[in-house]
Amino acid sequence: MIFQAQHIEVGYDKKSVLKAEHLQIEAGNFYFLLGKNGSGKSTLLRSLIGIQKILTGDVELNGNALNRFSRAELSKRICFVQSQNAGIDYLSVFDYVAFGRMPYTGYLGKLSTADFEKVDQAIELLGIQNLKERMITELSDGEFRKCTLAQAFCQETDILFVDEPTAHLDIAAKSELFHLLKKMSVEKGRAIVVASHEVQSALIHADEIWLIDQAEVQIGSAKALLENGAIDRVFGNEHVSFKDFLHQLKSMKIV
Amino acid sequence: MKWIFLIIASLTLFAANLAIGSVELSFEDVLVEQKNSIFAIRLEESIIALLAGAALSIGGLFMQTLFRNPLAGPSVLGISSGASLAVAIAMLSMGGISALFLPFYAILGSALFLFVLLAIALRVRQNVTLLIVGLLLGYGVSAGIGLLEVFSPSESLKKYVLWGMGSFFPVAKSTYWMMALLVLPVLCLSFFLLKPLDALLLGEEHAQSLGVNTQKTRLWVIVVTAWLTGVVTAFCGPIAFLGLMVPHLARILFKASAHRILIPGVILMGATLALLANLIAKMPGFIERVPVNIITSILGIPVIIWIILENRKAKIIS
Repeated sequence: MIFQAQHIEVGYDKKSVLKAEHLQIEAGNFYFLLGKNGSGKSTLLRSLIGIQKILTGDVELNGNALNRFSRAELSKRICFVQSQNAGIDYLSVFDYVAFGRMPYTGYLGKLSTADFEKVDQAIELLGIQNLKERMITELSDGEFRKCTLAQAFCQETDILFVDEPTAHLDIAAKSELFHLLKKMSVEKGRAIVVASHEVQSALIHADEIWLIDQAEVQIGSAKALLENGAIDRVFGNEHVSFKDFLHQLKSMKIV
Repeated sequence: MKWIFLIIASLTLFAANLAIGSVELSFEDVLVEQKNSIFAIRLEESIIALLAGAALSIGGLFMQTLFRNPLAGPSVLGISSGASLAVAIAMLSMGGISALFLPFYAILGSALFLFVLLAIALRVRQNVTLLIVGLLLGYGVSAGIGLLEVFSPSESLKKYVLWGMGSFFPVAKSTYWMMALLVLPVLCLSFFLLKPLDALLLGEEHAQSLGVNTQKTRLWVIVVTAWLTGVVTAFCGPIAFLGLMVPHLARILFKASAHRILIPGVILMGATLALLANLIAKMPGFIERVPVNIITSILGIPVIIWIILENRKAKIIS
């Protein structure tokens, strides 16, 4: 276990939005923070990485309290990936990905040979070699998201918190992105926490689901949360039900 | 190639600034009579223009990155307003104050506003809020200066209005080296901010995730900008639009957003444009020197309108 949060409450201006009893992150696992829009997914992510203050509770990284780490120290252990394109003119994909090396470079941000190699490896892992020289403002949403993941990968953190990586993407791009994330966790041993409302992707890919159910986080496998009806309680209605999905997962040999 | 072009342009303009002025000097005069006092003044004036252009443009670049707002400039934070207010008080209400002391009042004024802004910056998390506070400070200062103008004698009012029009002409014998002493070390220091500035392009939270202490960076950026703007305003008056326009031109010329390219690029281009503005201001044929502010406005306003309309329509509106 490299990260855990106990008895936490998160929110704004002392107003609690969300509670979680015990969140735990193991190296190389793929977690889905699943919740409806506005349920507090981003708030929880931001609180877990220390950009936003938690109201109550303890967050620990490698056995030490999170707030004992400086920003510089944290940036080598935890990475926060946001999905919106900052829209910076005249910034190449390579330079954008290379920003991920910032925690390791000196005052003037000069890249060493090793840094260059790591940036190239990240670009290769995400399969965006063909975009290397392009400007990030010219990219499609899907291409840009891959660049954000490449940047996060070469930051070489144990944990990646990824906020809504598939917003505004079409179905093919969504599934490609989730597969790339899964690959980063399985092949490269990174722990990944994705905040999303893509229920089906979560059921297929997640090692563990953190489900936001009535302002509380419920934890379990896809199978457990389907069987106890929690997924349906949050995302289902008279037209939509995920109960049958369990059979599908079984036939796909996922559970 | 682009670097060489810019260096040649700035050198040419520097030489032209030495050769051209309201008093005619032939090229031989310039070469032979190095001690000629007119030549000395032209040399000082060119050095001041060069330093002022570089300093204001770095201020503009830093503000635009910090606020992620292409229309931010040194004057927007209210720092040149602070300097203007101090100068207005000194010139308009203290009667005949020596031109030599004037710069120190301006630096005091910008430093005072700097501290106000520092205090606010520590409490305010949103860059946009700070920008609005800066604008409001500027409006407040304008009102205060207007009030001072109403009650001041016409003689000192004329002096103040002339200062407000901007000029690179040396106010005193020591102006150019004092300016060099105050500006050059800070310009060198600005290179150490290039990494956090790059990170800030991505937004505050993203920068934090990359290990940047954004609060500290913001303070340093404000200190550097306030210092450079204050010094230049003190010696040259509030020079309009230069700091806002140059970073855009540099981005377009170098096709870059990375500060390792933009910082030296903006320094060079700012110096070049200030020299150009100064040259136009003292073109032979004009009976009197044209205030530099008029030239920088004529150069700057079309550039800014073009930026808004053509280049980044979507981004400024959103």
